[in-house]
Amino acid sequence: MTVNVCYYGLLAERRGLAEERVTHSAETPAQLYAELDREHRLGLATTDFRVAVNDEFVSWDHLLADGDRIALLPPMSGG
Amino acid sequence: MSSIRFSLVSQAIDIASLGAELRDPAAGAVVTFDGRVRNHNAGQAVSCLEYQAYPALAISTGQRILEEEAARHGLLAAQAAHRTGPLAIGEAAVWVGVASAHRGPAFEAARTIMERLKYELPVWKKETYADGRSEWVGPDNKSAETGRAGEGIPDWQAELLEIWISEGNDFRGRHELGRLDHGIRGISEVECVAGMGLRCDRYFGYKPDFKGQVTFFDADAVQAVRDRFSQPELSSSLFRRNLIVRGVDLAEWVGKRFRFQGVEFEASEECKPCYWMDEAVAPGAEEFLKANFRGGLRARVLSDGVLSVGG
Repeated sequence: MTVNVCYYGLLAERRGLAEERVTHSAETPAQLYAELDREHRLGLATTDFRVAVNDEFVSWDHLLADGDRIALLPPMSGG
Repeated sequence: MSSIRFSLVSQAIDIASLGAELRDPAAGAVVTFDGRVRNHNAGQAVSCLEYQAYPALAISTGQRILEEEAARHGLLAAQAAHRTGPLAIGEAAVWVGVASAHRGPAFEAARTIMERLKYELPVWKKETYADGRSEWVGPDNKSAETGRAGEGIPDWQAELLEIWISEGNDFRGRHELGRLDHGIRGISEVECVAGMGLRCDRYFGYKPDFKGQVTFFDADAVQAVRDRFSQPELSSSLFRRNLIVRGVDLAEWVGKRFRFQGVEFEASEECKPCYWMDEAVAPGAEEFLKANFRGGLRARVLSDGVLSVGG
């Protein structure tokens, strides 16, 4: 399936871009991130940050669908 | 008519307009907080900073925080705004204002909203230092790269059997007033938020650094109560603890940090049973739970994550 992956903060800097289309065989955000981390050495563990799909927080074992927009959200630092 | 609104703005926060939204003839207290860019962090001179946001999720998250806290504290109005883009020293980065009938809930709500915005809003801060370097910072203003939690923290090899959350207290502060009857829900998955607790539970963001953000309870203690009081069908929800676990000796963890299903916790103390247990379970239940650490373990949540039954 093909999804849009959006990177923020530290992860956008490490990936060198803010958004990309990715065709993959992962079923969950955890599997997808493992593929991206292997390829691009993003370096954070999924236990340390959060993920959103289609503008809502989800757990790392949420089931992905074709066309989803997946946002990788490193530790937040508002305020 | 209550006015509850969170906004994300790329220009200077219009504090006068936000303050005007807090006017209410029933309000005896208005508390506002103005969070500004300071010229130093962690021993380094900061020359400017920049906030990046995920706008759709930041706005829905900010709005949800305000609505939850307004409901919980009975606020008359709540307004907050967060900046995006580059900011200079001294500029307002975040602003929170609440109105309530009395000062107590107003101070508490403003503080809780501010803490939640820091940890839950999908906004990221990049600091540029006087020497020209710049860096993304994480929560608590540590480096996002080195502030990573969890290194060297022991992992619980325990099973999570049940998760219970409740919107309100039944017993706390109810001495001689009778118990309340807030429902308790069993769920299969719960979101943990650092510094706050379990989302939708009564102790979520209850007060800063609260030592009972979450409670663990041993499934063996549930079984012991069932056996002792001849109530084989007794639900583990009656104890009003959050997480029913098996395979860990809770008594060993007081004062220690640990990870469970990837989420980091710091255990604070035994969760002592109270006399209400005699009413909720059976006469003698309080005494029985006082022995052998059966009352459970209270803990703070140190990192974000999701716990799942059977996970």
